[in-house]
This record gives sequence, structure tokens and C-alpha cells, in this order.
Amino acid sequence: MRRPRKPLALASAALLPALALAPACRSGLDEPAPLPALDEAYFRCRVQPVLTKSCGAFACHGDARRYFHMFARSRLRLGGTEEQRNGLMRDQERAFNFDAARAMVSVDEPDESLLLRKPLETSAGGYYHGAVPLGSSNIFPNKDDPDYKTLAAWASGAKEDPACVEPGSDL
Amino acid sequence: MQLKGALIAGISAASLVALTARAQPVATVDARAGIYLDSDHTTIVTTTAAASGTIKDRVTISGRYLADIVTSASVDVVSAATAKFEETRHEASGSVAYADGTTTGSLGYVFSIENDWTSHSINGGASRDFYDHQLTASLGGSLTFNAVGRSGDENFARDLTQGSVALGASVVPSKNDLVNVTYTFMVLSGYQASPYRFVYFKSPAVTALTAGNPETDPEGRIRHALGARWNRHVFSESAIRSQARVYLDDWGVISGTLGVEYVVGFGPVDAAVFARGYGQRAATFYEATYEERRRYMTADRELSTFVDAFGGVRVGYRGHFTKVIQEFRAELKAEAFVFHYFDYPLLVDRTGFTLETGLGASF
Repeated sequence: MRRPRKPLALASAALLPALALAPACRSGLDEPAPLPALDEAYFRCRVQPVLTKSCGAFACHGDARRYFHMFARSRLRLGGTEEQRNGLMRDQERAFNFDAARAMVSVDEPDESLLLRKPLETSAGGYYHGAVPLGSSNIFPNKDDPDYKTLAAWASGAKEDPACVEPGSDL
Repeated sequence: MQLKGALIAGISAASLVALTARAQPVATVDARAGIYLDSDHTTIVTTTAAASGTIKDRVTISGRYLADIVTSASVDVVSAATAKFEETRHEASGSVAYADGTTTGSLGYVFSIENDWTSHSINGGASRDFYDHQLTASLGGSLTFNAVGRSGDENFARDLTQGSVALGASVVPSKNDLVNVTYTFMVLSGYQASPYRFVYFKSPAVTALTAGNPETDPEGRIRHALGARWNRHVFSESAIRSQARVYLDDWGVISGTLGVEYVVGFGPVDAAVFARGYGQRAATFYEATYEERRRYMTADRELSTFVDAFGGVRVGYRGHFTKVIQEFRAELKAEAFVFHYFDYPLLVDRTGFTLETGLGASF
């Protein structure tokens, strides 16, 4: 005997609202997010020396395979020969370092920036940093460290005279 | 992975009610072990132990413990700083279910913890048969609170909350057919990126170079899934189980799944061969390398465009032993799979297999 079709029809009808709920894409998914408009002169003359000294070793962020990597004299360079490794920083290298560092800054919450929290000791509020197992402590023991303050000031919008001369520029 | 697991759990909440409702023995114990190996240098060993007890044929109390030991050097996590990791996930769950032959209800709790993720989930469901059991309507839901951490990092903490509702209907259009349709709606709110994952975008100053940026996903997500299963009894002792599922969300992901399984019984032994295919369109904001920096950027291959195919065999045994052991169960399952990613340069293809075995008894 043929079974009644009513249950199947009811079930089909119940699913129609589900199809109607098919969502449109969330708006703003492709929205550009330009890099933070931080001061280039302050970076070049104050931040870059800190990064070169504390971050740019070959085993650390002087390795191009790292998501955050940077160029520095006698360290990672953009092309050139081994003899040229200690040559003056090129404009492209400076510009890339500026972009790479800005990508690690949160302008809305500067203190939350990876550029600040990764090299900061955990007890001072820092995040886990792969450099720690290599030594006895993180790069900055606390927020009073002068170099930390330099990075923090830049992330918060500090400015420098555009005519400043960067250390190691041979000028 | 967590999200997908939660969605599957949400979808199956209603069917779990039905399964539990049919438990007739007073007590059951089950243990399973499995291993997953893939060409992306990932191994997962899973062990599960579960037990349940039924009171007066109507109320079943269940508990389960699961441990996943994951060892991975996947391209998804390996960087110059991270070569390999190993972690263990522990999951404990408990539920109480009611069934009287027409109506079912259940309430459950799941706790899961690993070194960088802790979650608490509550789930519930109910179903009722209509038209002389020709139609079963079910409603299930879950609410999960996740605490997302970062391995070795006591200062990184984010929250992710997810809720789901599953509405299902099962009909028996003929004596040989059982059809189930389930719609699942899920909302997620909170941190959905990976704290380990970075993306690359072209440096505005030097476009030949790419700079890294932490992955940034939207904090909200709305997901819809509509699944259908059709079990048809064929010949004398066999059945074809087929399934289809469509999924879409407001991140632009659209996917479809088709699967079929042929099961044949030989007395207490049943054997099955199965295959499943899946295809997915990427999230709108996914790109392998971004031409410009964007508000939302992800390098999650699970959000890229890809297809996968699974196939395998399963052999099960159910036999009556003694008056005390009403039923003894054993199962062996082997499955192979292949993934093909259309826009994930780090890994174009991923292949692997899983082996699972289970033992259980009812008293």
C-alpha cells in the first residue's frame, strides 16, 4: 500500500525558510588597511638602530624566512656580494624595514603591538618570544628599558626631525 | 579544526539524541583507538573510552573521555622559529538522555583542554515522532565558550563564543527508505584567527618584497549548513547510505559534500565501502599573498579553495556472548584521503590515511 506523502511534504516545507536565510557576505571583507602612518624619520634615526642591535642577528630576524625580517649592515642585505654586506643601507632596505615594522604596530592600541609585546619579558606583560630559550631573558626586561621606550614612543606617534642623521650612516 | 569540529557536533546533536534513545541494554562500554597520518608531516593518535548506563529503559547517562596526541611539522605551523610541535588534547563529556519511544530529550556537557585552547560546551536536543513514527522532528543546539591561548604564552588570551541550532526532520517514505534533512545555523563571535599564523603582503615601498602581518579574521561569522541523508535498503541484507550537504557563510565560503556508503551484512558481521567528496570556494578575503595590506587577511588553507576525496572500508562485528554480556562489538575502519589546494603554494596536495579500531560491549 502506498504510504501517505504528507510527512515528506511537511518536511520539505519546513526547510524552505532555511534556504531563504542564505546570507550575503559580510561587508568590508576586502577593505584595505594601509600601514600605520608612523614617522619615518623617528624610525630611521631611533628605531632602526634598536632593531639592528637587538633583533637583526642572522639567527633571529635577520633571516628572510621569518615573517618579520629586516635588513641591516653586516647582516641580512637585499642583494649584493659578501664584500658589500657591511655597506651603507640602501633606500629600498630602509623603506622595507619601515613597512615591516609598521605592520607589527597596532595604532589603536599601541601597547598591544607585537613589536612591543614580543620582545618584552613575560613578567612585564610580554608575549612568548622564540628568542627567550636562546638566552636567559627576553630582549627587554621591563617597560622601563630605554630601547623599549623608544619603540613604544614611535608606536604612539613620536616624531623626529626629518633631517636627523641615522647612526651608522657614515655621514 | 576546532570550528569544523564544533559544527559537526552541532549538526549531530539531534541525531545523537535519537541514537541514545534506542539504547536498550542497561550498560555499555566502548573503547576506540585511531591513528591519522598525512603527507604534511602530521600524526594524530586518538584514544577514546566511553560508558553509558540506562535506567528503567528511559534515561541514559553517558560519559566519554578522548585524548588526541598531535605531532606536527605541518607547513601551516612551521616557520624559521618553529620546526615541530607535539601536544595532547583531552576531552571529557557527559550527557543525560531521555527516551520513551516517541519523545527524546538530552542535555550534555563537553570540556576540552589543550596547551593553547580550553572550551566548555553545553548541548541539548529533543525529538518527537509523528504519524505513527513516519516523521521525526528534532531540534538541537549547543553553546560553546572557548578560551584561546598561545603555547608558552601566559599573557595571550582571547575569547571565542559559538552557538548553534540544528533543526532536523526524518521521514520514512517507504519500508526501504529513511530520509533525514537537517539545517544548522551557527553564530561565532570572538577571536577566530590563529595566533601562530602570519600572512604576507607586498611592501608598498618595495613591491618586490613581501612583509609579514599577523593573521586578522573578522570577529563575527554566521554559518549555514543544510544536510540530507538517505538510507535505502537494497537486496536482502544490504543498504546504501548516501549524504549530501551544502554549506555557506558570510565570509564567502561555499561548499558542497557528496558521500555514499554501501553496507552489506553477513550474519553478525557487516562490511561497508564508502566514498566522500568535498569542494569549497575560498573565503572572500583569502589570498595566498596580498597585493595590498587589508583589514582582514588569512593564510588559513581551510579558508582557501580546495577539494578533497575520502574513501575506505569498514568491517564490524556484533555478537551475543553470554547472559551477562548481551552484545560484543568490534570494528575496524581504514580510510585514505587526498586534498588538492588550488591557491595555497606551500602545499598543493595532501594525502594520508586513518586507521581506527573499536571494541565495545553491552551488559
